[in-house]
Amino acid sequence: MSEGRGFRVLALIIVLIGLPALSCSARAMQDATSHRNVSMRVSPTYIVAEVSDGDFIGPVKVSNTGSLPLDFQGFISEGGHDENGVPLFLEPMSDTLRDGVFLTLEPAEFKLMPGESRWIKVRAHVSPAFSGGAYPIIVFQGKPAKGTQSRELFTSAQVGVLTLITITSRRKQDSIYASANIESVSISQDPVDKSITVSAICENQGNIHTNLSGTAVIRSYLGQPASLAKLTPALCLPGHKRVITARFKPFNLNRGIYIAEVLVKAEGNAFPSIPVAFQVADNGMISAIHMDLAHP
Amino acid sequence: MKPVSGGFLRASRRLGFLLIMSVVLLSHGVSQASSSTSMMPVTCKVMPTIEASFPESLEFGNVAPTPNLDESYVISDTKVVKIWSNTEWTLKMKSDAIDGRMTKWTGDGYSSETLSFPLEWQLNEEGDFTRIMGDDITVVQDQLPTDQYGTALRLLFRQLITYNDAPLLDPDTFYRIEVTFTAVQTY
Repeated sequence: MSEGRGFRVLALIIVLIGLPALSCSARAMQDATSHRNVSMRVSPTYIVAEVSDGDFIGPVKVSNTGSLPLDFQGFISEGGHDENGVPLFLEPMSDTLRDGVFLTLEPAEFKLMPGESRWIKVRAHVSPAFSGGAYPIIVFQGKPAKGTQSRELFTSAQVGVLTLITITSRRKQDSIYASANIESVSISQDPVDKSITVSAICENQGNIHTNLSGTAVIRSYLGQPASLAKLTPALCLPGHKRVITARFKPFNLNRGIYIAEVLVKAEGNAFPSIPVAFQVADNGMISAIHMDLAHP
Repeated sequence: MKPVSGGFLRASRRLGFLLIMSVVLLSHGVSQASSSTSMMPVTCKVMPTIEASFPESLEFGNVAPTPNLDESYVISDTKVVKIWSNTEWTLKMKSDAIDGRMTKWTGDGYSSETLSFPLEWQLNEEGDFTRIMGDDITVVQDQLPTDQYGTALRLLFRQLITYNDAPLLDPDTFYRIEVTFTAVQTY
């Protein structure tokens, strides 16, 4: 009887000692699998500034939020965007004033241990003759520090910082302007709720970025407005195109011919639209679209 | 008892008046001091911020071809990319090899020997596998700002191994590729 009780006590002690050890190893395993990540935080990721030569913008705070020591490198890429506003990294920028503006990072290379952060200064160098907008993207790349890189397939992490830099020339004759040219207008319809979306592709032909906004209107062939919707505002860089859209809430269009137009505004200026005619069938669905009203 | 003189009475009245005025003024001052308000404006500006967590590496290990192509794919475990952002964001991905093919790594650098087929990836186990390239591929775009838990993207990588791929006998060499993820805000 007493032997049996002794055995139970011994077993209980073994279990009590063993449980924490088991849970520790399980946790360690979980840590090993989940924490082998390259993690970084960058703030701010969008900088709007008006600068002169030698000015600092930012600074930008870079943090190592993972558990691996990371080697960081900062570099500058020439920025741009596609029609949906997704940034394009066009070319790595050289340290020359060929484009009128370049940025330097101080420091451009640094190491951060887990949990560490560093403020990075960004200095703008501006050619005396340049005026307008410049849109370099600052890219911070973090890689596992040398000696910790694994084999076969290893990753490097990058976070981009978009900049909208305006340089005002001292010479008055150098004007800064944005000009939105509407390249095309298109219409689509949701087959389920019959809502209509009007989209316009606009090109900024100026030398500085602009916020495109405005309205889209659908009117009957006789000129009576049927519905009006706001275009979703969008930023457009000079020399780039951007799609802006207006979605009309579902409404009933009777059979007939309608004209859709967009009124695009950029910095308070309105730009001429391209009207698009479309035909609505008895079921309320668009049956035909005439993009070129000059040749119906 | 001597009668109080008129001068003394006047002086007393004046003193009393002065005392009363002092008390009134003092109390007014105290009450003004206690009721005066001072404003301390407290402001802050939230900065657009992106935090990104990417898998450090991926090892397929020892792989072998088979005559059946479908069985010759080696597929990775799910790799999770996690993004926290308070603005709309986009994730891009590219490789250091223009054609997306893993290249023999000698320890000092790449040699010219490559695998026959490129590395491929798939997002959230949806759609077809897509080859990775040296130019940026958009993994996701126009993503809404995340909450504090972030947005997790699950990526699978796969590599087709064929009999055309030269085996590497030197234990210090292996086929290798570097994948760069870029998280960036949308314009």
